[in-house]
Amino acid sequence: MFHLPARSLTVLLCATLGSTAQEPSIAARAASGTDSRAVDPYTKGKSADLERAGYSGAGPFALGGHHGTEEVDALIGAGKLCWLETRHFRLGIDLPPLDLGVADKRARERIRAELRDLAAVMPAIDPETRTLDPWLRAHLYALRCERAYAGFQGVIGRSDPAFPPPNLTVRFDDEWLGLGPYLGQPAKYVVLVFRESTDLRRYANQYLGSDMRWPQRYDLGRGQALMFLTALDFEGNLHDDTALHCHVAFSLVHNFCDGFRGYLFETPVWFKCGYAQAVARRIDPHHPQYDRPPDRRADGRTDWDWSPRVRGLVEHDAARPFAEMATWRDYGPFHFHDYVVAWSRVEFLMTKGDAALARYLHRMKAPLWRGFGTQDWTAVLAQQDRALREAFGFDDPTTLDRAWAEWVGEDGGKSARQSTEKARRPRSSPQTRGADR
Amino acid sequence: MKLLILTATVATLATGAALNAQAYYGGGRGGGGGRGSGPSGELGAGNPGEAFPRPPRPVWNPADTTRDPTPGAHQPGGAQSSGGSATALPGRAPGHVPGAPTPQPGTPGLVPAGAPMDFTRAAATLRQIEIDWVFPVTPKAAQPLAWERAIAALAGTDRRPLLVRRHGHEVEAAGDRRIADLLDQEEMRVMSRFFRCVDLADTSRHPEHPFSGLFHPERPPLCFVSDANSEVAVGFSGYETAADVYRALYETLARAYEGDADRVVRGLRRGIEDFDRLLPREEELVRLVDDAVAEGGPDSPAAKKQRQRLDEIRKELAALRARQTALSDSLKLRAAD
Repeated sequence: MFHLPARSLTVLLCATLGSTAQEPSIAARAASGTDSRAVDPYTKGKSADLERAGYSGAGPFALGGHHGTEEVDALIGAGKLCWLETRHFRLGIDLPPLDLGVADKRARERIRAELRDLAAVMPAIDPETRTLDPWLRAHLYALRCERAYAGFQGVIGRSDPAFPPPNLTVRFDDEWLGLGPYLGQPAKYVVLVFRESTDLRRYANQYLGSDMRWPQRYDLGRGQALMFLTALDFEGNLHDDTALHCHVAFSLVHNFCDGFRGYLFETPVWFKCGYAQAVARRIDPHHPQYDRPPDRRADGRTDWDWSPRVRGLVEHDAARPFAEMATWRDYGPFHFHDYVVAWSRVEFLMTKGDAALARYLHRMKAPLWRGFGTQDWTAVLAQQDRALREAFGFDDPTTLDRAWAEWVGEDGGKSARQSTEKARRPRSSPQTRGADR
Repeated sequence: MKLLILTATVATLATGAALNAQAYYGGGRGGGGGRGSGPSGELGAGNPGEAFPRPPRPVWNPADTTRDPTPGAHQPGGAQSSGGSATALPGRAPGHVPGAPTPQPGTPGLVPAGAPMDFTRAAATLRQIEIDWVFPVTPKAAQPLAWERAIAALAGTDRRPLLVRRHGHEVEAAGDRRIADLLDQEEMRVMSRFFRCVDLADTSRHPEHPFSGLFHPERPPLCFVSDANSEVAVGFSGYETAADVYRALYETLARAYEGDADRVVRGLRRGIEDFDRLLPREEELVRLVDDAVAEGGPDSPAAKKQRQRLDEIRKELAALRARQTALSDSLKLRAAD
């Protein structure tokens, strides 16, 4: 117990009550500019510096039809999310500082190279810094998102000028590339990375009308953005920067595939899954990604060396037939081996070259109806068959499977193995799971 | 933080009113000026541990030295919180239960010394008992809602009592952590299913926020429990003993439900032990089945054997879930007045 003289008692009470009454809110600190999180130290929010760095802005901007960054800040507290708008993305990133000293060597080298690229356009960045503050991490993710976008454009063989201005007119000719300039979407892609899932859930309940208990890819609706939302505490290892990078890349690829030529209808999920796995594994294969089926938890196993497993499945005829997997429209039926097999099949298709992949995606995403939605899954599957035939020369699923099995057996998926073995190194960190939509 | 703790103690001495656990009884912001004395009149009378049957010892990880096995025994910096009682208890270390040995960090409580045992629950088990938080949509209101209307907005059509958590501001970080630790305790997780658990941002206490009527303007609690009809509520700042918090929770359940909540929660916790045994085994067998399939094909003897074991475990799990559901359902909400 504490016994204090009456005079001290009064002083303490008043001091405390006073401080409570004058308790500065985060919003107030942000408004006064005294909250370091609210102002980007690398561009200071100045237009010229933002433009030189390749940004369109740093907020406020709209996220959906009826809300934007200001509403989110008011809801969860200003200064939490670092808002950045790039040429193709609108990002809100809330990440804790990262100590590069504890990262493994490959991750450190990768991040240092990224920092050097950022420093070229933002001279205030020190590429040799040991600690990445929240704003620097936000800039890193902006860079990574844009690079993922550029990678996808490279595969489809189309750059920004190829896509039309925003419109809602669907045409059925082969030249029609969608509803807008962002791979065919009318709005920029939105990426929100929260530090705490409570903030994500609060935002999603308030503005999306959805309680999101896991990372989520989300379509805001006609004429609006495709989003990806996640939080570090959804999965055990997302505090690992590389794991988070793979996690974000996995879902971005899904959104790109859906957004390409406009998100008019759902497409079979095997290609998106396999291609997204391939992209994530090229960052680091030690973080395989799993989506969450509607009725159970996502697979969270840590096995990452999938090539021997693929060979075993092919040898024992235990791989899910392509004829079956090709009809799945969501991750409901997926089990662990299905992720492995989907990845391997797409790796096989990728050996046919980017031009073939581009032809496949272009045909797959050709409009089937004048409106939005999935009215007829049979029509979608028939379109898939046409796409596979035109792009890769496979007349039916069995032919594809036979060719794939041969590739696994001989070359043994050599290219896939090589990219895996190059990244092989002792690891002890847990693996991550993916998102669901 | 120390300043706040001192002030809490001093204010308690000075006013004799409950400061930490604040009772709000409808009709406005309550807090020391509420209509009735409710549960707070009983808290702290005599030995908290003896006035109420002590809940079973929560599970903790001996490697986690931030937790003490005796609920409420760990107090940072010698904080003198009396756990929300109307009267302080001079001369006693807060939260200490006479007769209980003082545990040392990392020592498994009353278990005799020997090889350290890991009491950490499996991740799959913890997922079974995650608190189902609800994040209410902030209503559009020209001015803050009155207490009853705010509670009604949080409750919706759910007749369960409310457990409301407000994420604290930075200056409340220590109390926030303590609340978080309490909410992470196994008993809390298990009993949370009988509450509508609502998560509010710190912004909800700002004067212009529609839900600000739930919180005392100067000493907003970080967590409070309320009857669904908003008539009785108890608030917590994070400096109460866990015993007092649990007492308030069980008393709320007693008002809301027919049946013995303590017995049901104990039974459900016994079931958690079985989940801890079965769920990791199920996950392991799923992997073993996949490995056997990849190595020898789906019809290999190894794959068949593992699949059979997996089926047996899944049957046990189904039976366990049915028992847990039946036990949980045995606690029935009282008819609305």
